[in-house]
Amino acid sequence: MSSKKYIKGFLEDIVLHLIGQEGEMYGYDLTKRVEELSNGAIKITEGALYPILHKLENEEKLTATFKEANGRLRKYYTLTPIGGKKVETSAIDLLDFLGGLQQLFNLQPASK
Amino acid sequence: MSTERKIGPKELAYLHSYCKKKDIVYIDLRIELVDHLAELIQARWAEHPNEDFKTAFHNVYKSFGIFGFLTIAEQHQAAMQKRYWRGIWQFFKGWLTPPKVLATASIFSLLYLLVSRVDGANNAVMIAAGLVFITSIFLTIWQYQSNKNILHREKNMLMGGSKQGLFWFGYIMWLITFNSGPTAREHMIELPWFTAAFFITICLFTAANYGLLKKAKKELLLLKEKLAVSG
Repeated sequence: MSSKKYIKGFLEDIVLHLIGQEGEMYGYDLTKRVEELSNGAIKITEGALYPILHKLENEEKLTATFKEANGRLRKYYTLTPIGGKKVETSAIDLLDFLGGLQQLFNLQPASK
Repeated sequence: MSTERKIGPKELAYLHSYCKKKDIVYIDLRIELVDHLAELIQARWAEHPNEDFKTAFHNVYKSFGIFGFLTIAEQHQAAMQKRYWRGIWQFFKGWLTPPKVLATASIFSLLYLLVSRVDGANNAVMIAAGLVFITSIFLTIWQYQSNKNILHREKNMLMGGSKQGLFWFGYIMWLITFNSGPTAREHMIELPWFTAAFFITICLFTAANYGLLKKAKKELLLLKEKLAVSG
């Protein structure tokens, strides 16, 4: 499945949600986790990820710190209280939106 | 026993120099991208254990698309500017405390009275504002160069923002005072409140810009300390 055309509007929320869940993450880690958790359906490119991370850091939704890892420095991101609030509101918005889509396309949950 | 191949110091140095050549000039962004590339290469080595470093590197670099780091570097510039102006805005917001507002209002009133009642005071205050701005340029250059001496001539995002921010601020001030059309210019400069506000704005901006360069210095010192620990 090509997720590119759908992912753009959700990227910020995905990044904030994952960092909120994991506590602390770095760029490469985020790309891998998204791919793993979505069973390969969602892929985030580096060109899309880093500008979003820096934007969220500027908006004080994320805070970053450099730490040593494997003999080199690594930039870790954590959620700020502002970012935490955004995660809460975006979860509600997302549910509403998905419900709307489900109605619009008359989608049925996949039967097991 | 784990036999995973890891990126060594020489390879890390190569990645740093490659990123620098590709316009990733700010050390904070470069550290992040070098780490990402190193992780990608190590993941590739897990699947192709016999591949040499350069082949693995060129293979993973392809994943950044035909524009390579260009998109990241460009968007980083935009983020850098936003961060800078946010810093300036926070300085001005922080200025809104009763003692500082009172002091600023007093200086404004004094300048206003001076300009409206003393002949030639207007020009003197405008020249003083110009001198403060020139001082601000020298202060920025000096602090910028001094910051570059901290970490082998490296610069960080906030330093880049300060340099560009000062240029834009100077340009806007220039437009307001000298390029707003002869009638408008004469009108603006003749207004005592404008002269007083102009002087105060330039002084506050100089302080805000210098403060951000000092913050950039702190960030670089912290990075230097961490780089020393990581070897």
